[in-house]
Amino acid sequence: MAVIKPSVARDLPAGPGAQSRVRELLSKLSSRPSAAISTAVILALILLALLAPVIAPYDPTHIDVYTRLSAPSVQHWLGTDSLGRDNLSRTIYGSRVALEIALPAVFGAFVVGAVLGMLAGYLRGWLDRVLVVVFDTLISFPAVILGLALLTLLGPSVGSVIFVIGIALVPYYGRLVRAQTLAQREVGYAKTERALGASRRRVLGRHLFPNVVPELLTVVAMDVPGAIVDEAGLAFLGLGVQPPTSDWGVMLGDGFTNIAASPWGVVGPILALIVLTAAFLVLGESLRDTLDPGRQGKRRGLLSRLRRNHR
Amino acid sequence: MVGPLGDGGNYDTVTNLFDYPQMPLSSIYEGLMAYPSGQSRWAARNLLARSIEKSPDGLAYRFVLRAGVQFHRGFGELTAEDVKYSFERAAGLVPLYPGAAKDNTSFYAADFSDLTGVTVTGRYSGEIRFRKPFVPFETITLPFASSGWIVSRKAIEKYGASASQNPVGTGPYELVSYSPNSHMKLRRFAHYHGGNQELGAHNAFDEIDLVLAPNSARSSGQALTVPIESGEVDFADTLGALDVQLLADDPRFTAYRPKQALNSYFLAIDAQHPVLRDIRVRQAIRCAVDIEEINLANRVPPSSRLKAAVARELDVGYWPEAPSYERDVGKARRLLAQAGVRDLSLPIATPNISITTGDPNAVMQVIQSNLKDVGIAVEIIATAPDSFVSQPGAAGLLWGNFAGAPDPYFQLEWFTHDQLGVWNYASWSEPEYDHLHDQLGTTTDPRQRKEIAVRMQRLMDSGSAYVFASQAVNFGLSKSGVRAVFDGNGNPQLHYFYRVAS
Repeated sequence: MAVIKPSVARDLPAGPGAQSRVRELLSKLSSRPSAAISTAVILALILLALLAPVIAPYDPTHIDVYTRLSAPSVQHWLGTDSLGRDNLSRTIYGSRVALEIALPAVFGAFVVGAVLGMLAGYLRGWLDRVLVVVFDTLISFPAVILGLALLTLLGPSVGSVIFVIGIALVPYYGRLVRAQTLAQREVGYAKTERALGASRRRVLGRHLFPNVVPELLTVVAMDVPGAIVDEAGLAFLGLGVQPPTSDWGVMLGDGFTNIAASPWGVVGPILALIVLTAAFLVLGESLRDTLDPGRQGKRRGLLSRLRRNHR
Repeated sequence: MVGPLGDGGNYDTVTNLFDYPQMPLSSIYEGLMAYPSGQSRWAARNLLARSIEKSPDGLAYRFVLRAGVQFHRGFGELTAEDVKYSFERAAGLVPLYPGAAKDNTSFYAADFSDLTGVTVTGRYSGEIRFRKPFVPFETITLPFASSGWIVSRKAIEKYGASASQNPVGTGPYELVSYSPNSHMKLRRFAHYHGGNQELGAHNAFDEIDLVLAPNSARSSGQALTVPIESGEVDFADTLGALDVQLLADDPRFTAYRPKQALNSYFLAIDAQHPVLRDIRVRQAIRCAVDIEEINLANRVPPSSRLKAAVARELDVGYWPEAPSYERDVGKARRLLAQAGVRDLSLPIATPNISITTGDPNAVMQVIQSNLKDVGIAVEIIATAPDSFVSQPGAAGLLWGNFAGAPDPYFQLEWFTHDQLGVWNYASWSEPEYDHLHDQLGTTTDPRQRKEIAVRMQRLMDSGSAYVFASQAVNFGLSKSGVRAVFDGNGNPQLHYFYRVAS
């Protein structure tokens, strides 16, 4: 019986065009105006967050009670809140919190979910059964109740909110990646690799990961706005970041309390949430259409997308 | 229809947790004396008593009741036996009701400090005796506190443990129905003796419906204004200042902003905190906070500024020369430097935030911002743990408000050693202060009482553990056809309400 040395197995190609798929994906994306625009908007918001100290006209925590709830003026383009803080500056700084929380929560959850899902799908056996039970148990909890319970235990802070949003997403990603892995492990190249004696790490890292993960970037992109909305919702309930940090949810809470006296407190965060949510949704949709052209024309309605993103 | 009100769930005179004297209890029960509403002066008048006289030694009060006063629900005529039962029950000398557990006693026995008992000398007369003089009995217990209201002995004996849900008094309104956390219906008492009309009450409405909500769930802000805006209720109070301001010019409504002169907002600085134990740090915080800005954020007018615990509206105990602390960041920094304090972080919270009026979140953010300017980082704790109050030294800063009563004895009671871990939020203790407080209770001469009260406030000021900010304001609205009337501390009194042409 011939023995193929591991060094020979290492030289086999990594699946069906795995490396070139990324280039192809970027190329296709760049040809879509909607993808380019949404990417530009997201990058602009990231820049806004990074450059907030330079761009914001005022210190967002500077209190001037004597000018509270003022209407837009040359000094305060979006007016002031109930403590006289500049709404525009707080909206700009709020983008930092939104991204500081949403991006680590979603990508952290994706990494953890992907690793666990791939291990479950590839190794099968008891590990698979245990992880599936854990995923299903977490999914069975309403996300809001789970979040409120965890935040009550952990106490409100940026780290707690990232953890809470992340933990709610992990089982979804784990389930998706597991399903993809189960499908991919049976295709020819993966079987061949295993038959040639490739290690589990090699099969997982070199073949399955590049073929499974890009398919799910769509989901990740579409979950970012959901996480931002979740964070704003928790802050609105007083369980998110704490004063004096500028946060869109906190701004909405304060703004709605005083909306009869001055509607300007909610304008900034609402516009920011709409723009960012729309940008991520459009990017996610473009990714999906690019990766799965067969689904083009089967676009889901906006409401169903929002529902998906507003667990 | 009135509301929404927080449902206290307990309508007994001596175990309820309402602030003094809260509706609807004050329309159901009556005391021997009362302060007429609609007046800012605190001059008590007889109500159930036809006369009441203090003995020269200050140890006894002889009373004669109005004859023919009836209790609600057919519980018969008020007699001196009911007064004896009510006061001895309130003082904890007899059980709350027949068969009540020994530890189930009156919450307000302190309102009858050193009461030895009540002697019935006739069907309508009796004598209330104390071991030593207790002046707040005249200023608080008899005319103001719910513990001084008279209950029907027969009713308490009949209802037993459920007496707290079945209030039976002699007042102008009797309870018709009560559904916890939902509603309460009062009806004008057909056999009312009419005594409160001599004090200016109108008893104008045949029925009064009260919309009730759980105390913990009673929302704040605009949600409270919605029932009156929608026409569901005729009167609502403890509303948001801004909401009332927005509707003040609306011809459908009449707006009210009665000053709650005896109530106070204050910052408590934990004097047993490891760092705040140094008085210079407490003084620095007092210099660093901007009281004017705090009051503005808390939506109380500048005229409500309070410099010490006793307000100017009280004839006895007001300290006119109390220092007015203005913000001085430089001095605060110097004091902190002298104390060798750098990079100080402190938590701030509001005990029992659900019943703290005003805008505590806004105030705490102003304090946070003020103290940031002197290098103190303040973390706002959304829900204060119990330890903040119960464990001296466990808190940092507490923003609080107290409801008051018309006597300096009450206003200054919460800062004694006995109140550590209970109401003495700053955990400040001074033996001389405690001694003076005892004296304040037994001293009958008003001039001496004033001197004692001022001395106590000087001691508090020297301790720098409490920074008084303002009195409170009760923001309310009624439909334009209804005129609301408030007592001297801004609390609405339903039996004084009357109709006007709208």
